[in-house]
Amino acid sequence: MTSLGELSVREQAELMKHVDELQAKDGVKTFHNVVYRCYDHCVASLRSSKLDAKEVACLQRCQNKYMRLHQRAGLRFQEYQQQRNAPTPT
Amino acid sequence: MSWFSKEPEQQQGPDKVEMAKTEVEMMTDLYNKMVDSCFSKCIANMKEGDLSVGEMSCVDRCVHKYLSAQEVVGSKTKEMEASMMPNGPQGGS
Repeated sequence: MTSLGELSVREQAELMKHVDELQAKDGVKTFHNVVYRCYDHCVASLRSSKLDAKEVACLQRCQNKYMRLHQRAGLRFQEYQQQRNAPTPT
Repeated sequence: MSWFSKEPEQQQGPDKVEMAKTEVEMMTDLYNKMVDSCFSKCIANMKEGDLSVGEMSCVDRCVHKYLSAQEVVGSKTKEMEASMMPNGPQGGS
């Protein structure tokens, strides 16, 4: 893994700019994933083209759940990386 | 030409940055796929908008397992790549 310390200030700035761009794209990707998963989960019947109240409520709960999971996974992900990178104590 | 810069940035600069960029991209991609997979594995119903205790611990295990799986597949892939090119690695990452 490349560490930020190896990069010059200017290189770090370039990388950070890229990270910002990536985050914007990432938000869009996550949004599409939410729609895909939640549609899949909450919409079973296609007898009507309109979402009924139940489906809307389900979609909202689903979206919330997805974001919660996203956050929690982020914490665990960081922990895992830290454990990996930490020098093993003897 | 920048005579006020302290470090020689021209020589090996771009490569390192490109590598770091690729790494960040790979990480976000991995992360998104992992979240999506863990969502489909751990979320059983939408009765509530919050994660239940059971779902939370499922997510914790899922993240750990997904990353372990990634390492297993990763090292296996490296092995295979190495055996496929006996002339030595050429710019593989």
